[in-house]
Order: sequence, then structure tokens, then C-alpha cells
Amino acid sequence: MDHQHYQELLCNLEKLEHNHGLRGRSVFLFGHCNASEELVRLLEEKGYTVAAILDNNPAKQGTACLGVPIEPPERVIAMNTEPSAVCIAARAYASMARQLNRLGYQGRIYKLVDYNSYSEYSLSDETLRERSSLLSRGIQLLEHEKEQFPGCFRFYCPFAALGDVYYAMAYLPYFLEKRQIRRYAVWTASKACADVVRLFGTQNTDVLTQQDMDASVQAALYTGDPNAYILHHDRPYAVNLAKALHVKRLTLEELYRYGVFGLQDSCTPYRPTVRNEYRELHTIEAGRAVVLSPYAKSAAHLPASCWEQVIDCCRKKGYQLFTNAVGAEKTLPGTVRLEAQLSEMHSAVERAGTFIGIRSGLCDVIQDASCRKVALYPDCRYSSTPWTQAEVYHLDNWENLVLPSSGA
Amino acid sequence: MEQMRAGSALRQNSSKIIDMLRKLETALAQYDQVLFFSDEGNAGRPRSIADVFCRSRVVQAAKKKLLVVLAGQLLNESSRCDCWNLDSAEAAALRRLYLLYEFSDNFQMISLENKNFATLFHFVDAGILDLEDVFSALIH
Repeated sequence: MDHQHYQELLCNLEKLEHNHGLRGRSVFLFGHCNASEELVRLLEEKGYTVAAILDNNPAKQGTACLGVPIEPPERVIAMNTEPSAVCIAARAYASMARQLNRLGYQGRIYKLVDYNSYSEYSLSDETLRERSSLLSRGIQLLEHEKEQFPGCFRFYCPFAALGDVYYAMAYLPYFLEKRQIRRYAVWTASKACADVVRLFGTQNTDVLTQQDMDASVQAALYTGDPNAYILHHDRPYAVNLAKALHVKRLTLEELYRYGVFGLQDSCTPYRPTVRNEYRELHTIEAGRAVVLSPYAKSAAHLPASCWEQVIDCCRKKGYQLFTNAVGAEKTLPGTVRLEAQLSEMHSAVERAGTFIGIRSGLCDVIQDASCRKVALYPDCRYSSTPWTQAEVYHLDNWENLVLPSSGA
Repeated sequence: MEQMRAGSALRQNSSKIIDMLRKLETALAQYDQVLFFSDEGNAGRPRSIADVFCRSRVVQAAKKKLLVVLAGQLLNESSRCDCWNLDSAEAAALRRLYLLYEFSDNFQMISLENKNFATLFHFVDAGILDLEDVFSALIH
């Protein structure tokens, strides 16, 4: 679950509590996924007990997650002896709500996250008019983008995650060759993602707000723009390559290599060509420092105690300690702040000798740095798939460590 | 121009298109999944992918109530999936609607190729999945 959606989850849960939406009710969740696991923790922190997580997957039914039983949806009817509420933080909210209604569920159903800015489950005239109006905005954006980089084929990276953009760029040259594209431009949904694009030597890049990105993507699809391509496995909804994860375990890199670009095994990824020396390199003790990276776009929970243990262990061994942080991100106590540009990170971690970070897009960016590299994973699923985050985001030649929920 | 086309193509004075939208609303309420097989990329293939889908082991064993929508007819009548045949104008309108916004989470458009985005069939081309895997993923 990315940070934006996590914040939305928190906000909606606060509103629900404020409006007493859960007071005196048995609480159920629908859909076992990373988001519902976060929700279990949040609800327990607020003093609620989750009666069960409802899930249609027979393989999950009868098991438990964080001590909460996973049950078939019909159980909410069987257990419904008192007022209850079902909270949903999954993408398939509409079909889940429909299923509960068909089962005869009489309790309250709450949607806690809206994943899809380009969805509106209605075919009313009003909805069609509204969507056509949004399309109009998208078409105007497309015209602006064509003027911004005239004569260029246009790529859209609709999801603001460094790792996704990294793999899009790493395999893009094969697509360019296949389609005989000589000039191109790339739009991303964040400045950091645009920086990743530039690591590969591409200068024709710009940033769109998420709303404008969604509108541009939708307009490109609708008009069948012959000079536009969407670089993602899960956006827009029309692609949904991520469905493949329900039948086969694939890493993020494989989703791009095989799925987004349709390439064979023989295609190896290109690597960044733009790398700069960290301007404060002299402050890092060569081979005797550790760069810690505790922040990620995803809302993975690694408790403070986890980092305290790492810091304590490294300090006892005499290592110099840095926290990689940007903007408002806090420096971990007992460490020195390291604020390097993405193009400088490679030199910084190689100088230090050790990198320990929560699994994030930054790990993809520095994946072939010559140093000891440790990626920390929370013990949870990737979305609603059968695979864990550690399985989907696995990095070769790294120490991939899964931490238990307690962070021990 | 495109904005005019967007609205008018879908709610123009064509009673046929309006009837199609009404039928679509009913179908979405009645079926667990509605799968629209767009013929894009299917030209020249010896057998319609929709036929292959309906006769696949995965679909034969599926417990979900499925509706297959396509322009034209299935080569062989399916005992497992209900089928809704559209004419070319209706199919084009449905395709435009699908690309306008996500109007349902139990409707998918399946095309073998698309110039703007990847499809699950890339995995088949790469040898990672077979067709049964793809169909299983689609109706998951």
C-alpha cells in the first residue's frame, strides 16, 4: 500500500471513529491483503478487536493473520448476532459490497480507500457527461505534451514509485528498437521519478500531478494515440497485468520485462549511465560506515525498535552511521543525516561499504552498487496476491531479510 | 472534436446504442464477470480467442457466472458461458465506453494486442504463461 493511500486510510478511519461508525459494533474486514493487515494493526491500536477477515480465497480460509481468523464471507451472516460493520480497504470494494448485499448482510459497509480515480461505477447520463468533461481535460493535456516535446513518442509512468520507473527505463531501449522510435519523452508523477528517468540519460522528461497523469493516460487510451504508451503493469485498469500474480509468482522486474514490454529471458536490463560523486563523500569513512534507509513510499511498518537495534549493533562494531533522508524525513537518533541526490547515492553507499534499508525503490536504483546490501521487508502480502512482498520485490545479490510483525 | 465524439458516440440518437447500454447495466448486475473480447489483434488468427476461452479447462471448471461479449458469433456454442453478440457499431461503442472510464469492476475488455498498453498475452509470447493461465488470471 503506498503512502498516499495509507494516509487516506488513516484519514477515513479517523472520520469513522469521530462519527462513531464502529461504536458498539463487531468489526469485520473484507479482503486479506497488505492494506487489511495495516488496518488490523490500526484498529487494534484504537482498541477495536477485529472479529474476522472475510476472504473469498479458499486457500486462505481457516488460517489467521495477526491473530485474526480469515473466514469465508458467509461467516459474517452466521456471526451477525449483534450490530456489525464491514470495513473494506481493497480495490474490489464495489464487488465486495455487492456480494455482502446478495448474502443478505444488513450491517454497515465502509469503504476506507478509494484506489481508482478513473472509476465511477455508474452508467448514468450524468456520469457519462462528467467523464466526457474529464476526457476533454485529458485531450488538452495531450496537446500540451505534444507541443512540449514535438515529434517525440510519449511514455507515461503513471505510478509514482522509483522502482517501477527504474525497471520501465531499464528495459525501454528494447521497446524503442522494436517500435523504431528515435525520439521520445517520459512523463512521471513525481520529481523523484523524473530523476530516475534522468539517471538513464533521458533528458526529455517532465512531471504531472497524479490527477493530470490519470487524465492524460485516459485520453491517450480513448483516442488511441499512436504515439503514446503506458509504462505500468497495474495502470490503467485496462492493463491489469498484475492479475498474472494470481497464477504465477513474478518479481516486479519480471512484470516489466515480460509483461509491460513482452521481452524474452535473453534481454538483460540496461543500467543507469548518469552517476555523480556524492558531494560530501569525504565525510564518509571508507568501508567503515553504514547508510540506513528507513523510509519508503509504501507504508511498510518497521517499528522504531528495529532501527534502534540495528544502530546499536553497528555502533558496537565501530561503524559510522548515516540516515538517508530527504525533506521532512527525520534523521534516526544517533546517526548523521545524509541527503544525497539519486545520482549520488551509488557513490555514497559504495564509499560507506554497507547499506541497510527498508525495501524501496531506492534499493532498485543502487542495486548493483559494490557494497554489502541488506533489504528489510515487513512480513506481509503483496496486495491481494498469494505472494509476500519479499517474493515480489526480491533482489538478487542482496541480503533479503523478512522481519516479523513485532519487528524483532 | 474528441470531446464531442466522447459524449455523442455513447448517448447519440441511436436507439440501438441506448438499448445496448441498458442491456449492459442489466448484465453487470446479473453476472459475476462480463468479458468483452475486442477483436483488436485477432485478425488472421485461425480461431477466435473467445472460443478458446469458453472451451478452456479453467472456464469449464469455474463457479462464476460469466458473460462473454463479442462482435460476431462464437464458432462453437458454449455450454458454460452465456454469450452476447454485438454488431460492429455496438462493439465500437462499448470499446469507447470502456476506454472512457472504469464503469464497473466486473467488466474487462480483452484484446490480444494494443498499441497503448501491454496485455496479459505478453506473458504468453514470452513463454511465462500459457493460455489457461491467462484465462485463470482473467476470471480470478
